Amino acid sequence: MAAETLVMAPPSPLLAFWRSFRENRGAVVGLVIVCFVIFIAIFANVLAPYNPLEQFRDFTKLPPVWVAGGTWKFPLGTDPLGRDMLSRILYGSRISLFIGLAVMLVTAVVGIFLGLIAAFRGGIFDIAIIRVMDLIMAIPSLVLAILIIAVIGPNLTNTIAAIAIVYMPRFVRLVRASALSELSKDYVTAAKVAGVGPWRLMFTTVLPNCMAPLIVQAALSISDAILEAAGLGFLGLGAQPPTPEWGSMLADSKDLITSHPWVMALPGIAILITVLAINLMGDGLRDALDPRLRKS
Amino acid sequence: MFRFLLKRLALTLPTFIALMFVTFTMIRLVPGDPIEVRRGERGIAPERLAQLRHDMGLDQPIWKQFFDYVWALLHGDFGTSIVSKTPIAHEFLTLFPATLELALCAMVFAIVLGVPAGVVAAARRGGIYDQTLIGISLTGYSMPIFWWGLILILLMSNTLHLTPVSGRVDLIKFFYPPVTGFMLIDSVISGQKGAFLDAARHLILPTIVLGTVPLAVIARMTRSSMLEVLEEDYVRTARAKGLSAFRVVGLHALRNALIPVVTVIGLMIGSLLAGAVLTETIFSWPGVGKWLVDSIGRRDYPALQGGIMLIASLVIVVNFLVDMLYGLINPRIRHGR
Amino acid sequence: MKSTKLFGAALMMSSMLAIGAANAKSLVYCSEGSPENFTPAMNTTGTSLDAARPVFNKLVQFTPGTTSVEPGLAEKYEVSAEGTVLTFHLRKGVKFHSGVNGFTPTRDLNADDVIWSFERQSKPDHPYAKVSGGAYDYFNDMGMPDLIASIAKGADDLTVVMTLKKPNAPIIANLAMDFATIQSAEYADYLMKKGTPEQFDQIPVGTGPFMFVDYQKDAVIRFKANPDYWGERPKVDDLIYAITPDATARYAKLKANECQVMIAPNPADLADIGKNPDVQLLQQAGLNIGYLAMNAQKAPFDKAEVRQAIAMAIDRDAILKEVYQGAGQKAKNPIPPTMWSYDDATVDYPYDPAKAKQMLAAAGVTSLDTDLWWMPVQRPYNPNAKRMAEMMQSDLAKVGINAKLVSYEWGEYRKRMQAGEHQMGLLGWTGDNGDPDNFLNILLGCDKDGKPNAQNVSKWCDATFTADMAKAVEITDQAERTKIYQEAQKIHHDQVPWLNIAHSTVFEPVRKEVSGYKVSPLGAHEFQNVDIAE
Repeated sequence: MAAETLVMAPPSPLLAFWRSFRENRGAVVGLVIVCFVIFIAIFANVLAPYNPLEQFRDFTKLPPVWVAGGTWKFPLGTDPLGRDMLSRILYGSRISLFIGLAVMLVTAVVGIFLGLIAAFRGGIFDIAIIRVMDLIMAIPSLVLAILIIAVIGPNLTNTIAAIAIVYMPRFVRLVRASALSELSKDYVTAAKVAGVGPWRLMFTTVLPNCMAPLIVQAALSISDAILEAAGLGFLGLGAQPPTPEWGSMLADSKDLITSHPWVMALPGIAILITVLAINLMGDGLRDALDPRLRKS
Repeated sequence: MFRFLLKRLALTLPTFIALMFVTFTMIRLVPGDPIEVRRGERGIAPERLAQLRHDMGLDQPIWKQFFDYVWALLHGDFGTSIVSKTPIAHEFLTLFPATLELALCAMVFAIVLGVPAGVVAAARRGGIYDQTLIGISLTGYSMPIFWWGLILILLMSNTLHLTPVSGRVDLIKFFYPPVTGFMLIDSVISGQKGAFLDAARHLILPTIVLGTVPLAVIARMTRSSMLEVLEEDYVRTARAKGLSAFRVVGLHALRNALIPVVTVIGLMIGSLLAGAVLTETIFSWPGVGKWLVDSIGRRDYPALQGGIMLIASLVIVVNFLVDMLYGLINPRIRHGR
Repeated sequence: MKSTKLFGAALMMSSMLAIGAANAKSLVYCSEGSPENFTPAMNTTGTSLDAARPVFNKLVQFTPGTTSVEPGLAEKYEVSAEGTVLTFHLRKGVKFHSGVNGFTPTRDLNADDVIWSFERQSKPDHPYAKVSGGAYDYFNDMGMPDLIASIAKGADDLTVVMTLKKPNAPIIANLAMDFATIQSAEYADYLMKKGTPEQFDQIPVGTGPFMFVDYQKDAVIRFKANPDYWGERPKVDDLIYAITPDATARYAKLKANECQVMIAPNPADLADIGKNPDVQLLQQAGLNIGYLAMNAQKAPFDKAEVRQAIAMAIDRDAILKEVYQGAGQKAKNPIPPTMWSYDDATVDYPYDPAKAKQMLAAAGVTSLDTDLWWMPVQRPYNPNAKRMAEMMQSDLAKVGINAKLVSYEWGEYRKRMQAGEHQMGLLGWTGDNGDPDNFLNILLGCDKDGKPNAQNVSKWCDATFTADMAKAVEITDQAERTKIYQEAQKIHHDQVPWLNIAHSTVFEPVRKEVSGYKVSPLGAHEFQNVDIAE
């Protein structure tokens, strides 16, 4: 009887990716936390004990339950208008995640488009796009965002637009650089010879091979966006009150850092944990997706 | 080499022009007339408004205003502030040393702590030190820096009374004229006892706050760059030759590992200036970032135009210099695409 | 060049200060912003006026902490019988500051300086009229060009004669305002000859209790006591303005004794400040009013009964609690209680939505769609107009009125309200000179043709009221004027062109070691009488 060699099919790319990813303990912790935050965001209306906009005028500025004067009725205390901190933080996760995802989508979609055009068409398109991106990068991010919002007005949508514009150059340059390096490769030349049209070439041939650094950048842009939005909210230019966005909660609490520090500490911690988790995940993604980028 | 320089220089020109155009346009798009917005409940009589607008050149056709603006810029005239009636360049130069001092201290803080930390982490890869470094540096750039600043103020100034709350100097005890605008230098020049220490104490918290993100980034970049270099053949050769670990790591590897780190440092100027805006706000630090933000609220067109023009030009120039530096270090860039 | 001169002066000052530092008494004031320049005639913001005030005097001045006028540089003055000629007798031997910016005065204050200071603002061809931008807002806003016919030297060098076009009782109070500051004509000439006239507005020379020493932009202003002051010498040697825009930082500095006086605390910190044993929380009703104007030119707001009903439909106590957070008092008159002629006998409208609904029905208004305007900026009399509007909207809904909230950017908002585009709108007013005419006539008066004044956003004209205003502005006897203004307040109460909402309270925390500091109803912050216990 002939011995049968056992041949295992190579693991699917997804499985291979997952295996690399979970080697990185930090990344897994990040993933767990991110899932937790997403869960909170989705089920905020069930989890939160109160409406985040409701004011309990008799219970203002209560400390969290573990400090003297706190009560289990409001486990994380209340803000100066008597709104429950726990509920506001839970609902705030929705807005922060929304901002992060929205910015990421806008910068990714527009950025990929612009970057590919710059790489493929070259010439005047390339120069124009790169010059505009340089211009945006020359002005410090926060200053530019503030200026944009001063023109179009402070609200949630405009905050997303402003942050997307400010972070666009990163994406565009990344896509352009990746596409350019792919373009010089043999398989692209082969495809061109085979008669593949430029659009198909862009999206179906080249782009998938650039994905690795793009995915990492996308993940990191979510966390950057959340931080930038918090900064704008702190300056009063983000989501307007009474919306429970973590950054504007910090702005409202700026007056209270000595008298009632938890009103300021808690939203900041929420931002920190969320952004940290996303960054951990981003690291893990980078390590797992592209061995070239590993070791960092 | 010269061609490379010239080529690079030529590339920055269109950026400057676009910058002029964009600052001019955007600022005029901000809603609110600069004169009307600063009036109280009384408002202003239409004739006076017309007169004031005429005096400020705001009733000219837009293209003429732009032309005047560019013409003045080319003569080094950045305009006059509507609010303080002093030339913008003068205002900027008065406030800039404060921001520069803060930014330089933050950078020094980040480099002096970050580079060695990254090197050691790379040398002991995977160990407890390495993991801690990654963890701390990730935390460093995951925090909103204004929150971090407030927490530090709460802890250090209000609770422990270790550092002063805000400002650059103790106003009652010390008064010395600003020679350079850098408190650390001016305090020494003044010769007053305790002045230098006072200036340094006021710098501690803002430096830590502004320098946290650069510190985190530099530490990680150094680490990853170092790790790459340590894998290189020539390092293995050096080790095989029997050179001590210190010489291998400290001399050969580090020099090459630092190249990407240097470029990153140069490019951080933009984010340092952005961070300065928030830091200056929290610590009442009289610098350029805060002045710009205030100018937006005051609709001080010339201050905004001039200020953004000056800052963005600074960023472009620094980027250009970093490009040059990188080209010098890495000859492949000079001659290739 | 300017910087070397300033450097030299500063170096001299600093060495003097350093030597005297051990024995010098310093008062540090935490101010909330940077001045635009140091010439009060060119400014309207409290911050800039505060920064210049220690250096200067005026012909007459407000007694600190009050709105009553006392002699200043003019030790006495007379008003002619017809009320159109004012004669001021200046004090003898008043010296301008010596040694500031290299300037040494060769003469004492005289009529030339007074004339110079006013003509700079009134004559477009004055040599300094256009220096530093040339906008003299308060001079124009108070109607001075239409009021002053001429100002000239009188019988001698120390007499100034001001001729008015028509009699005007509030003119004396106007002359106590900061725009009427007297500056040095000699210093102006000195700088013009040197070719640096713009320094006039950056490095001030005056006759005041303090001399200007140094200004570091956005950081600190320094003054020192004037040894040759004509009045009582200040009790502190050095006065320092620490520019601290953040209210929390100001309070932190006050607690740490890094400054001894501060203004504009956070409402959230007030409870703590009150409990702090090292701090005295001084307070006073501000010279302001926040109101809800109802456009009398648009039906149904032309009916007084409708306006009265709305006055009863709004819960002002809730607004005071939530919007003002204790930093305000309910207003029953259009002028604040600190102003003379305030009618304390007025009986305020109660909060009675049931009655309101009745009255509306009686007036034929069962359901009404209207707008309610709110301003997007914080004003001294209204910390959060949006919140206030939301609360009013829900109160009005309970009586069947559907109010749509409307807002514009501040300049736009004000223009449109003055044009009368609104039906209901929030606005307010801060007094300039402590005279009731400054509130009642400007905000509720009409001209002789029955057209509402520019700032009369209720577009309401009452013949008796208008006649009262015209009469009271011309007579000088305060008792008589008081009677007239009280009648005017009664008319306002009956007709309700506005709903009076609140007067905000001004809080100024100072260290317990500080004595002699008074809260000014006019928002001035003055330090010549302040002392610090060691």
